[in-house]
Amino acid sequence: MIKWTDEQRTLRAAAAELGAVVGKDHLERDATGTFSEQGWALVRESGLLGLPFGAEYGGLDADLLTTMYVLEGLGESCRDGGFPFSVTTHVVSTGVPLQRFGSDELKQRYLPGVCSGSAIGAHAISEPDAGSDMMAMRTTAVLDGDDYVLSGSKSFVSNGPIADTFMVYARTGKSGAPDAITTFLVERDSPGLHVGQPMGKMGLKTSPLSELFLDGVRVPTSRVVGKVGAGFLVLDHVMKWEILLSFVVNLGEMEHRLAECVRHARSRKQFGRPIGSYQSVSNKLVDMRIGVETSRKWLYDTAEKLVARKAVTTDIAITKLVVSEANVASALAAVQVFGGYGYMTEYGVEKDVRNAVAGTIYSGTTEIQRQRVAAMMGLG
Amino acid sequence: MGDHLSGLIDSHAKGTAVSFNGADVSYRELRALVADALRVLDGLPAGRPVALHVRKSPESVALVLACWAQRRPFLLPPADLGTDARAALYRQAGCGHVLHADLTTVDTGEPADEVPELDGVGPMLTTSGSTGLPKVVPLPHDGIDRFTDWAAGAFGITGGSVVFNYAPLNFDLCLLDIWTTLRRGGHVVLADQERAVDARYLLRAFTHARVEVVQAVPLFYRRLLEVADGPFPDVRELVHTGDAMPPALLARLPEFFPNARLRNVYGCTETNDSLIHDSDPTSADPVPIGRPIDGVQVRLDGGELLVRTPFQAGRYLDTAIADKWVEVDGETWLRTGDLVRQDADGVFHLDGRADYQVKVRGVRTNVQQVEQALQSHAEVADVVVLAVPDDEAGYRLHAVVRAVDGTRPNSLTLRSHCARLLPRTAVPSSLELTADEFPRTTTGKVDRKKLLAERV
Amino acid sequence: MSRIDEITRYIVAEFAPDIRADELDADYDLLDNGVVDSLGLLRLIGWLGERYDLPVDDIDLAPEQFRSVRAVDAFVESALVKGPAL
Repeated sequence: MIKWTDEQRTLRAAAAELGAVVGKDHLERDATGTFSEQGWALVRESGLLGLPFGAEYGGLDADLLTTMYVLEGLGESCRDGGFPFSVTTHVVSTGVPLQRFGSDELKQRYLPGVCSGSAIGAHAISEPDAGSDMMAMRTTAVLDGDDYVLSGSKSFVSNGPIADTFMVYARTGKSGAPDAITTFLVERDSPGLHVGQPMGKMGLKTSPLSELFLDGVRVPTSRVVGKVGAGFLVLDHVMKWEILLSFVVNLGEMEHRLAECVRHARSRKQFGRPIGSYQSVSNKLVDMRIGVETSRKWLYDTAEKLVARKAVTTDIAITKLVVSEANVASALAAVQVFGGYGYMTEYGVEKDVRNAVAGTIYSGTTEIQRQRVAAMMGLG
Repeated sequence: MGDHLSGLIDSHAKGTAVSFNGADVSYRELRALVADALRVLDGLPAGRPVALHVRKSPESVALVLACWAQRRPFLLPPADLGTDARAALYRQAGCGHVLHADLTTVDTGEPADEVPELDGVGPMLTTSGSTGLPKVVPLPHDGIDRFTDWAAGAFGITGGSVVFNYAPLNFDLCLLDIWTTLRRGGHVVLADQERAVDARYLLRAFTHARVEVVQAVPLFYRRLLEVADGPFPDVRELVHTGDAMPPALLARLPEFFPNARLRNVYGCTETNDSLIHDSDPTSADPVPIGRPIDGVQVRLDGGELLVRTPFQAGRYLDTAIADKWVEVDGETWLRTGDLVRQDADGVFHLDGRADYQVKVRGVRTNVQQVEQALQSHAEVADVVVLAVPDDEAGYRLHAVVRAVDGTRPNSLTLRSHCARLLPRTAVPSSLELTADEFPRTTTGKVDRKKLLAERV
Repeated sequence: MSRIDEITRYIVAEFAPDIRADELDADYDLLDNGVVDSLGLLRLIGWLGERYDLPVDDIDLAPEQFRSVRAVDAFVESALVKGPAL
């Protein structure tokens, strides 16, 4: 059990306040798939985007656990599930690898934009033919003088349509080898870089997503993030953060959803009794509670292990699997607890189901997480 | 009698026709066995196809000859096929009766008016199908006549030639070993298909007579060499076929068969022998499949070999299965499913099966090329590379390796060897050394499905 | 047991269980030969971090540092010299 300080609570309260404001017109934006520009302006002002980054770059120097606690607050209050996803994507895609692997020059040049939110970040990893398998990527980076020349295409780039800075993962070595991938920081206005049209999707509709096409994009060697060939290790670090930050938002959402369901179950009556007194309903609420508590334990326990420099590859995979599946189960249970209202778009409950499904897919599907745990156990 | 068998048994042939499990059957005795079979067949509706549920023996050889003599189409399904599958094949081929080697008959109950078009068809052999039910391959008499003419000439089979037969009776390989030999008045030594992996038995059978011509899958030669002491100087024609010959095994053959011409024959049930190659035992490379034999045409389609032979069936009995037979410029060709490449000398090399291609980390990889690479290591006796489905990589490769006796290669040396010869994605993710024999299918090929099932 | 022996034993036990530790040459290329794949690399780094108490999250990691047993040993050496960073 972590004891949060007053300062941490204050930060979380600020995030919660922000989330409530940003989430206001979430139904309209979900229907039209619109990113909240106004929300972004607010979140920039709040300083939230610089939470885990150094003060010298305009960040708040908060540690990982504080960052998570604050984002949990954002998730709890913000009914627009896509918005926090764009926020965490921004933070983890560019800020996190720059802070950990970037040269001083790169940090000085790009981290302030990450912290202030003046340059929105995205990362381009998966590809049409490679799916979740980053070692199969076909996008190549070939050294030509002082530049790398990047060619290929990337699918599912979250924040793609609104991003200013992309972390592009491309192959510099033999396909399949652990040292084959390198990370490049690419600016949106680079010649040869084309951002595709926003793509329609099932959930997280307010967080825009697109494809990215690289047609001989020249990137100076100085914009390699980490060492050449270290892309897999950079991504491993990024994925740890991505999973902890984006799924702690889901934890907040689940907490809110549970509270709403409990309130509804205690007030709504059927046959003269509150529906929560029927075991078929209370069982669902108990399962939702178990999901919340299990997710919280995995998220913060894994984060503490990470901070304590323990090996967390297995924990991260389990956390990702547990929280994403708990979120889907919780969202489905809420639809049932709310009955007909839950099924109607205007109550905003069904949208959570669509949003939650995304969590079982991005950052490696549930199947991939299982395989990863198996691999860590030395199985196949 | 003589009329019936003209063209099937050399009319002047004398002496031993067939040897089986130590016993010799003379041509006179064989003719008597055929006469017995004919008496039974005469009692069945004329011209109606029959099914033969037999294992290899002189009696079953006589039964086949009797069907042939009547120009009655006959189905030879694999002896160990399940009851339901067998019944399905009987129905497909319109067989009214099933005959056993002891000449007992069973009425299949199949209606006589549902016999497919079988004009000019003799044996109906089978080949494995993708559905689990084997595909029936109806072979035309005239194609078989052309084949036996070619085979007798190519391997010098004449009266008195002693030819060893290893393949089960329902295999197209028997067209050479058994049926060509009897047509030319030779002596065929049959290996009991029940004991096909028993090395000591095989040696006994092989040394029963002075074998001059032998055709078999590599497994046979490996078994034989395990127990053979001395050379077999009488063998003048050695044919290996059906499966890739490991170069290490090929290299040992001249010591045991000092006077033999070693040849690799490539073919399939649908087309029979199609390409032939003089195998070079001094080469460590995979044995090429060579050049088309006389009258055979080949073409390539996306690396896949298409062949058209004077011996081919041209169709499956179930004409709904059309994916492998294709019409090109008004002629019928078989898509073999084998990926080949032709070198500067015009010699064809097998690169693997089209269906053995898998994507490993997005890279098209042929597991058989990985096998060839591992096989070329001096300490590898035999190897199977399995493509194991993997959520992340698509497939990952797992190699199962049997070491050459007395050696102990390890995963590191084998990995380095692969890394020198193959792209990185084709280096197996895991290697396993085993002392166990690989499980084999009834055709003597490695049972990949079983190996995979044991490891997933 | 020296550190390089200990590293060798770990790699053999985890990634090449069919061989004896003395059969793994200290310069054998673990990456190109596919002994250690991408997930194997994470396992190896995780083990090194815990076993030698290395601040692996503060070092500029690259796969090169894990190409062979000798390289791994040198990596541990340099990480220890730098001391636990904060």
